[in-house]
Amino acid sequence: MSEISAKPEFEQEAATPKAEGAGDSWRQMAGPIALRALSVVILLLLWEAVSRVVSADIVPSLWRVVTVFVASLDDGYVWSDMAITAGRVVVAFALSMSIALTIGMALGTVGWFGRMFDFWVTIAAAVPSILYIVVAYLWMGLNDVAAIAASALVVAPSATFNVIQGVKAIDPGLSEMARAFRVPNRAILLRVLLPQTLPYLFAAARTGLALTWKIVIFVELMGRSSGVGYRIQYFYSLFNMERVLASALPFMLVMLLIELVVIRRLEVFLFRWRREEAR
Amino acid sequence: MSTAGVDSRPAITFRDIKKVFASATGSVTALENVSVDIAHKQFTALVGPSGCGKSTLLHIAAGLDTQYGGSFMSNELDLAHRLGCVFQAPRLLPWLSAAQNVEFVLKERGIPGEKRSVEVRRFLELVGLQGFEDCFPSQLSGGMQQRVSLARALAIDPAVLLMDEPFSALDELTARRLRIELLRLHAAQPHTVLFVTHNVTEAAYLADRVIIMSARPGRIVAEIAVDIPYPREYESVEVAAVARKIIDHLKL
Repeated sequence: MSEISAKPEFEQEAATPKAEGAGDSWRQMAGPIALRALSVVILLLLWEAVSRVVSADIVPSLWRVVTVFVASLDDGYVWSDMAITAGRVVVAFALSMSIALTIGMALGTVGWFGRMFDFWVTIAAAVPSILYIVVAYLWMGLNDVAAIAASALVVAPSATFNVIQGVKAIDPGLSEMARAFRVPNRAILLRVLLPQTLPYLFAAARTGLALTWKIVIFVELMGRSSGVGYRIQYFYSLFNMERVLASALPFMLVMLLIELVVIRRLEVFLFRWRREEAR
Repeated sequence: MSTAGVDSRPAITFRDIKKVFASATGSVTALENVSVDIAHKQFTALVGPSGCGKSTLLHIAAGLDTQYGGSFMSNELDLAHRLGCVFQAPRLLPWLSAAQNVEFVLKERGIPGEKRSVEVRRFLELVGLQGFEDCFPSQLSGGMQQRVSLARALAIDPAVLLMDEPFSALDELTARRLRIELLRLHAAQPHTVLFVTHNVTEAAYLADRVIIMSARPGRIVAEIAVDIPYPREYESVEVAAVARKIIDHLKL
């Protein structure tokens, strides 16, 4: 060593350039958004075309569905239906996540327990959704408790798998580092262990929510006398295609927006440190 | 650099350490009768083949392993909270920036926010990472990640710096650069360093004193005082001669 450099150089260690300017990322975003919008327009045009070829009783035009929806607002059930269904979705979602977290943590952390019982989760995931719903209604009667329990049971198994994966993804090296630096146990739990499992918990919640609202509508259709699912069932029994669509589409749109705007954005923000790895 | 020390008492002392790992096929003695003093502000390298228990010794010093025979003592005040560890892998929290990773270990020591960010900046600059404070580990090269790891260990004002093969996972050019940096930092502010490696040239190049261990059971077979003056040259004849001596003791 001829001399000790005062400041280190980095020729040998290539660094990824820091995040590019906001202008660039906007230009990158604009393309996909335009394509996405175009694909929606094409879909709506296709719908319109089909409704003109086929009888309007079978495929009502989009305009017709919107008109019927606006007219149905006067009947007063639309918002209350949505609110009731949303309430059931929230409770069922919370319940399924609690089940998944409790069981997933237990199966993921306690070795012998996991090896012994994780097959039960596989079995639970293999049970057809309809069986949970029918059994819940038979055992508990046609009420909200049964509806929510059935929805939660359908969603819980797949979410449990995500939680187990998350617990298993924990790197013992990071915990060891924290213990060597005498980081208190509470901080290790909250700032070392939890963030490692968070991507998996988030995945569990995102797919869980998407599944929950679809199941809740189905559960309502099977045995409740309120909510979006009930309304679909009612107009189905009247063979009223327009109103079936006018009942289903608004709630679907709301859930789609929540998924695309709120959840995706939150995910991108929370896990920006992971996205960097993809480069 | 042994002259830099003002305290003549050893910083840490291992006395008759014995460590047995029990496994399904029987028990393995990892360490037997290991007694060694690590001098204050001295750079001590621990060299040996894999399985000689050198990392186990480091784990005992770090307080990560408490199931052992014999005793581990220290003359440093509050040693447990003044251990700076650098591992083979950087072991950074991937969701925190370089600065936040250093700050993480300071925060839990109750250092107030103002002072904390000043310290974080200072130590990242010390390891040559000015301008990279806000990068996530995934945006940094392996060598730079290990620099962050070193900054984190230095930032807690360690009484003892424990380094477990910190450069062995890096490519040779990056490792060489970091060795130079480490010596530069040690010259500027000497720490008590316990450096585990299986690279004999690295040990000869870095350390004031090299402790050589044998495997199964792990025992100390020799000790070499390296009195080549700093700064040293990695390829120099003197370093090569010490490396040769280490190899002879290892009976390779």
